[in-house]
Amino acid sequence: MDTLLKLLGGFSVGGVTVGICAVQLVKHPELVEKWQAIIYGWLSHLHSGYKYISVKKDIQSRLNSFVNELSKDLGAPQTKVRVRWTANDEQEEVQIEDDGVIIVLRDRGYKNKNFVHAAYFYTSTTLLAHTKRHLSDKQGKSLDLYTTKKVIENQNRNALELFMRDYFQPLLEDEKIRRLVNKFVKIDKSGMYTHVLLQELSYLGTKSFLNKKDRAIMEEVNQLVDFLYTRAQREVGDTSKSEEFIGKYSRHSIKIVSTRAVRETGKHHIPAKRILKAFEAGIENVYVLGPLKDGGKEFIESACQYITGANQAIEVMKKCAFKNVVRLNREERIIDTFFVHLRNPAKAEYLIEDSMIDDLEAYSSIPEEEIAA
Amino acid sequence: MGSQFRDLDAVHADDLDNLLLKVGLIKQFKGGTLKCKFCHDVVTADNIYSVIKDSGQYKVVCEKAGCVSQLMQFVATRKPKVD
Repeated sequence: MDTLLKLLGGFSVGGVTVGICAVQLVKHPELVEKWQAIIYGWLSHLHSGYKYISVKKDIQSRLNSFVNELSKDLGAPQTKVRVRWTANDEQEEVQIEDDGVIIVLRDRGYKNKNFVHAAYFYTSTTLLAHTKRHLSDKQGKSLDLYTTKKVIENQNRNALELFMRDYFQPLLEDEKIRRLVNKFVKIDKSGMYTHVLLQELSYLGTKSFLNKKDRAIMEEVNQLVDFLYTRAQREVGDTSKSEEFIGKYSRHSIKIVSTRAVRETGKHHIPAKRILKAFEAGIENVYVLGPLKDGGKEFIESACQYITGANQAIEVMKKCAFKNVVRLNREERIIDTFFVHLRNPAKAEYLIEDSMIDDLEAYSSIPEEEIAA
Repeated sequence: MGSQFRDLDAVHADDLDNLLLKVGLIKQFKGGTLKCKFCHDVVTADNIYSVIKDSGQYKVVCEKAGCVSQLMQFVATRKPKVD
């Protein structure tokens, strides 16, 4: 009887394990594809027909794995990639749409080259397509380069040297691109490249402008990058730099919450009220940052709960923790940060008319004392 | 979160001759006279990045950084195709 029970227990533990594995595989198909790429790679030595599956799965699994992370970071599903072979059947007609592009991929021996080519093309033409909608050529190229570098670093570090040598370095010869990418590096180290910059550009991409004022938008994007760069360079405790970015098209605030002094008082409603005021003033997004450890996370969460309780239009879009670099006594230090993205969709304008811009311009030209009065 | 997919059209290097034959570029390719749409340098099996259809005509692009970057611009001007 005991043996039977042990056997049944063993089966149920085994069943649960298999079940968990199955759920994980369904939730993460790119993991299955990674293994398929390896297995079909071996099989391609026996039958050359398997090379197509191996190369296809290798690229899809790595790119889609990054897409999943980006989707989580931006709080919206991003378009995934599906490699479609052409001309692999001599009898079949080749059909290319006008303006169509066919990328040349090589055998598994050129795995890194394949990944660099596919990642750069895909990131530029699909992943960032709507994010770059209102950007200048140089702004777009800088974003393509830096984001592709992140994709490659994240998914296939072996290919990084090739990308840096063949694409990154040559395109950095352009002064404007080099200057922007330099700023992205600092912004990224501070944890604000994906969480704030790409997020804001992504929102900007969803907005439409009835009367195109391209130059004004591009100029505002430069100001946004400068604002985040300045924030990234700020010393811990320096409150002289503005927390708000108030543009015509993008309005957000970066609030550092839960400094030790405030945290020790336990009064989470104080920073919460500060954030509520920013929303009342017309801010669309507030990005809350603070220490993850020593009760920082709990303090921030309590503050956010207070905010969403006080104003039910405000949504918590994302909560996450990451390591980032801060400047303390002119030295860079790596710290654990807790991050919350709060958004008030009611403050977002999706169809921007010139009259709205003019209204805002008129508003921003009023001296601050008058607004306060 | 539901996912959208975008097809990345690709040709395996082993099928490149077949593709170029079907789009009418094989003679130039074999003869060493097929040139990059952007830099006009000769494109070979070693430096080819893509085959494109531009205003009804088939062209090729080499893998130089500047040419790939210009290709991205070319793509940016076309309509997105997502299903």
